[in-house]
Amino acid sequence: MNRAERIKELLRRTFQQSAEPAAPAGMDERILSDASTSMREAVAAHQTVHRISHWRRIMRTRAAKLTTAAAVLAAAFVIMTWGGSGSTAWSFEQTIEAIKQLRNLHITGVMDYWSEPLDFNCWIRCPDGASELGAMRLECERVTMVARLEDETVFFYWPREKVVLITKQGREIEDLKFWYQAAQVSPWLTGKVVETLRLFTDDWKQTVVTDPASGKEQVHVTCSYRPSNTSISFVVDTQTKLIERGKMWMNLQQKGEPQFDGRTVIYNQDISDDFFEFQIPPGAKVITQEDIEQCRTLFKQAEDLFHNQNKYAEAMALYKQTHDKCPHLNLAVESLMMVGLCHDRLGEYDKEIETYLAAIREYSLRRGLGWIYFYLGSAYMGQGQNQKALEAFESCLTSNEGLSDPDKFPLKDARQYIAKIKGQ
Amino acid sequence: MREDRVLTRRFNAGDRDALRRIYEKYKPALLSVAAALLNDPAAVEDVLHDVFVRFASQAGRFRLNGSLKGYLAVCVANRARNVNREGRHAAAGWPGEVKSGPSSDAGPCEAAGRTEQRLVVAQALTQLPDEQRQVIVLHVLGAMRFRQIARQTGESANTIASRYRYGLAKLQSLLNGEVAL
Repeated sequence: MNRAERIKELLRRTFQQSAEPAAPAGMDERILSDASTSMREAVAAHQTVHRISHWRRIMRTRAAKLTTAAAVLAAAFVIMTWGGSGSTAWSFEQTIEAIKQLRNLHITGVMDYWSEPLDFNCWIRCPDGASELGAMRLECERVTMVARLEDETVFFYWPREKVVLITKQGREIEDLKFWYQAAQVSPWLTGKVVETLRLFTDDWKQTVVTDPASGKEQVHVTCSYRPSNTSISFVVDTQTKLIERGKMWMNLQQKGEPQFDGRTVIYNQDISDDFFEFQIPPGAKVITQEDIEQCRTLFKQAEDLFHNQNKYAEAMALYKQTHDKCPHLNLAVESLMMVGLCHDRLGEYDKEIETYLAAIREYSLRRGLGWIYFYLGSAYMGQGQNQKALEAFESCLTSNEGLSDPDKFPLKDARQYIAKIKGQ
Repeated sequence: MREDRVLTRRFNAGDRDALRRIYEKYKPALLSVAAALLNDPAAVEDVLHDVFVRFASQAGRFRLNGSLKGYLAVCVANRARNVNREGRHAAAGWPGEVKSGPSSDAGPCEAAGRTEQRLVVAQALTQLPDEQRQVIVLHVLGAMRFRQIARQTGESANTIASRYRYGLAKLQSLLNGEVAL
């Protein structure tokens, strides 16, 4: 054994043998007891954060889906009409021949708005190549959206709440531009449409069928586009060479109800240019991009105070500011919920319940309030008001049905609590 | 390693038995590391307590990258160094305390001789720079490889190896003639 090995052996003999017996009596139980408490609190806190994050992700995704989906649908119709895939029975060139000058489209049908089927009208003004004045207007009972490539601006108007949101260079414009540009990359005159479309879409399939009702020959096309996680199907009349109807899903497998079900398509209506202008309705509250950025900053600061610094009173003040500044944003709903959770952390349980109830009143027209109902139910349970808790948990199930995975928070937890209360 | 991954999963789910198993599994090694790095044996419990409570506070979000034992050993080493720096346990009471610990079956003369030897070793260790002392203790008593120490401490493996070599050489010279090597 060399000297280095001997030193190592000496160290082992000195400390490995001595440390264990030197440990104070009862040390293990003291350490394990405190560590267990710490672990329990950490797991509970983590679950709360995880649930909040999960809720947030879903809210944001859902909010983004509407506009993205609308943009993709609209532009997809433009592409389908501009470009094409050749076959002996039908080709896009024939369609294009039918529409020498595509100026605009008007699509009507049913759309999925937060799992609520609503009739919609969507008008698309195609870019003319020179001035690139592409624009889109989408209207349904709950929302109007006007997107203009000209100044890269998107207007949203929620008529019930009388709120206008103006965003510039947002994701909606990017999507719209992307699809318009996609169509422009391969102008149909070049004859390279097929290659381009096949580059864009996956799983392109087209079949010629006879419509049993009318006896007319039709071409059915299905395809998907992975980057947008969308799939599309549409039907072309081989006589008129025009797209008759189409559907779009926000998944690649065409599963479930489509996000958009375009049932009629009208080409080249007389639409004045100012139809794609947006006039702010009198009395509407206007939220700008700058307001949104400020809200996001406030919210981020509040999140840091809540999750990292455990400064709940300070966090609550910032969450309130976020809500008051942009009450229509999803962030505002979430902020109000977080105000409730701040009260919870501060032991102000009555105020916690008041906050959740206020949030539910304020956003009663929205679906997806199940998370707030869940926390309301939990707060009632904490106060021993089991009947009210039961009602809140049941509202949670109703509010988030179809929006949340039934086997995950909050639906799963709500069901468990309902069973627990009923079992008592 | 496989057991550690399973334990970590259970620990993240809030399983108290998993926490206890981790504690019992690694307590001997961690005690050795703490004992070798602390100037005061009374601080051993404090250090182990702080490390385990802090570790437990990560339940639900703890991610095991590498060896769990290595992670805990480095936590103990860092905490021990901080305790020494805070000076709360600066008194060199360790060697005197040790005598009651080991080898209860040894005779009085033999026990006295071992105590003397431990005193010398402990004092020699305290004369090493913190970084060298930490690497030697983690490598020898924590049974960690240089690469593991490097990963946990954010240093390069070469730096760790150098610290070990220099530290060991210095320890040799400090112990030369003091104890039988």
